[in-house]
Amino acid sequence: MITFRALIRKECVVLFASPVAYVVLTTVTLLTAILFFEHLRLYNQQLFLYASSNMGGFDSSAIPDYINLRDTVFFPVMEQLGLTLLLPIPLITMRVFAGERARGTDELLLTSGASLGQIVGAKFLVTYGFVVLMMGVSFLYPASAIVQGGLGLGHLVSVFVGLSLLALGIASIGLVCSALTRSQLLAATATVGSAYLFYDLGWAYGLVGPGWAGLLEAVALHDHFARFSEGLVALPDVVYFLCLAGAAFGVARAALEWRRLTG
Amino acid sequence: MTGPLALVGLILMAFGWASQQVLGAQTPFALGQWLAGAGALTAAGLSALVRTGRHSQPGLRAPMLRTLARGAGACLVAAALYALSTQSETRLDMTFENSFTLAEATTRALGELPEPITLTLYTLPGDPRLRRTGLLLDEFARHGEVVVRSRDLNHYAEDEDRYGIGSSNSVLAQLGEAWALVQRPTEGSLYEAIAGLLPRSERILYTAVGAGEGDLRQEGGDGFSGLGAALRNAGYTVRPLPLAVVDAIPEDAEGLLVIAPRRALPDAALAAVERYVDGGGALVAFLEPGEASGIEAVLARYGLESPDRFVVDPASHPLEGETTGLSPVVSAYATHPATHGLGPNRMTFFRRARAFELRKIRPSDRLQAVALTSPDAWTDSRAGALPPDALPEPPEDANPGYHALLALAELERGAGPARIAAFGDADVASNRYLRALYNLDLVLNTIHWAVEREPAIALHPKHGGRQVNQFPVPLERSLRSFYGAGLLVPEFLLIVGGLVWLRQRNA
Repeated sequence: MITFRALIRKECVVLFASPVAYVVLTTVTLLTAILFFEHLRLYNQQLFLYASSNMGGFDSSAIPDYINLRDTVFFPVMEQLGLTLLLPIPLITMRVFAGERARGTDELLLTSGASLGQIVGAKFLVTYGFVVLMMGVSFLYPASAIVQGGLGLGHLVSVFVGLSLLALGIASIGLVCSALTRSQLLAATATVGSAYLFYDLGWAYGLVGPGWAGLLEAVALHDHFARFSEGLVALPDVVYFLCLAGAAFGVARAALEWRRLTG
Repeated sequence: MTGPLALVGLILMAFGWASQQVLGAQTPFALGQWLAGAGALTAAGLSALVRTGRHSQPGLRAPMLRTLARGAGACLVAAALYALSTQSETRLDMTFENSFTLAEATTRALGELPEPITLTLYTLPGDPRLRRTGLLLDEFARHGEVVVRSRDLNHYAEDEDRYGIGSSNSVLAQLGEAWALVQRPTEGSLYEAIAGLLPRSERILYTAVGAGEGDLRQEGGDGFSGLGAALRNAGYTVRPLPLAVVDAIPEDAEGLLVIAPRRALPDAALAAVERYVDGGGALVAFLEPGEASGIEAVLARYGLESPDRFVVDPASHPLEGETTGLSPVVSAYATHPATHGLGPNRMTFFRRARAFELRKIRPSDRLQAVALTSPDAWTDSRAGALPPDALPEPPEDANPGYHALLALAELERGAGPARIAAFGDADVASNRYLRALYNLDLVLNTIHWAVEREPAIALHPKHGGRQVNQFPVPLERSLRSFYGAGLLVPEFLLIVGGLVWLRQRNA
């Protein structure tokens, strides 16, 4: 346990001693704010159009029910935030294994006496912690919209849990990519590519039969996030993200073991 | 060979993807690219494995295989666990209005389906409401024999004409040959469509007409057509009965509804009502303060006295343009089948009501006050004349305490048990207020109880759920608050990041 704690401390120091972490946090927060204000502007514009077409002042009964603060601002911002995560998360995960290998410090780690499970576990935990922190910081501002959007705290918690799990899913893919290569650039590119491919496979449903479409739906990241976003926390969705993290842990550990064997 | 194969594979797949994105459809070219790319990548992987195996020491091959098996095993275990979890139906509905938790009445209606019902969701690409409706339909499918399918309106234009589908996000419910269209699908509207398609045995309710009573066919806020529709969905056949010209309530009556007559009923009509109750009938009466039709006297003869005084409950907020306290919100209920599921968090709303005082006429009579005001309420005969901005004061003869706005009686007058339900207000069942809070549940369940149909008692789905915000949020105000607080977080992060960078550079 002492070794594991020391490994966690070391990973935290490495992560937060790098300006990249802060730049990523700042960028995600600002991006979320920009997305939010853009949607808010469009929402106001739509309301203005309906008010103008009536020429009799503001009349909320004339506005279609799907134009509201919740469906026009909050949900789309959350959806786009999910997609936006595909860019900053690889910047964090790329250095976790690949950076260590490129610097040559992985040799030290592998011969330190800590087990492979501890080494990989510490890296995963710290990365996941950072990802949740990033979600918390970027979630602050759009969440204020729900005060006027009539969403409810439970629903807000559901969306936050969903977004955090989605971010963990993308981070898991990133950690596997980082564990399989020595190039940070390749790790980041492969993460963006694979996460984008697996993000939403809806386009492929029409190309395959219903059986295969069901399989694609089970694999795609977004389909599991979508229910959280509607306020529904289903056990299979939670298990999906946890299994993704578990499988990523297993593969990353195997990759490290392979390296120890092959040198 | 590994590197070139992987490179070719990636490029082929990228071109396949790009071609598909540009054309918006899968073409033989794109499919070929995908397959060739996948083949090249698989070959690259295999080649890498073989090469590593050849170059490594023979003694290391077994551990290497074990490592590979461990990695693959982790993936398989994860996939198996996920597959297992999909068998579970455990889910938490975190929405404010429990949008995905079906009401008792809905699950009961689904349980009564004689054959599978088909719910078809008509869609158009890009409609943001479809996902929510799809999840709601899935919930219906989890609770009964429901076949859910989705149809793109672009491909089913004939359905648009045949069923009168106006827009995307419409649901067609089909049970055998019968069908009903739901234009704005919520649990409430879907429930009503399904309930309307169910075959029902005939239960006849007569509703008094001819003396200014509330009309179950009248639309608009003051009408009672909503109650009429709810009764029909609950399996009742509602027939009008001109009390003034009949000398007896028809024998096929399951119950008699008298909704706040404005004119005095003839003695013969009142006598007919009394004979009906004495004969073991079911009477549901809605009174209004300031009205004296004679039905109040009939109720009083059975122990449900209602002095002509307004209930004033200072614990209730005023309605717009209404005097404070004249619209009591009820949160205190007695335990009774008619108040099933209602409680402090499931309130009902009355507007300008009168109260009941219960006095047993015979020892065997069972009288019960089931919906009560707050203990601070009183009654006042002049409160109805107060201007909207007035604050009512208790008069000399005020009798503060709990007051019954709904009273029930079970009687035995020789020809079988009779049941009476008396509401101190008719607005509670009007179109304007029937869907407010839990009014529909209280009114409908009381009627079910009165006609001895307790198994039908259930909480009903809510129609619109919570009202969504459709008012503009001025950008300037939001930006100002963003500058004030929202920018502090990224500003702080950037400062820390900059300091870390400077420290690294100087190190």
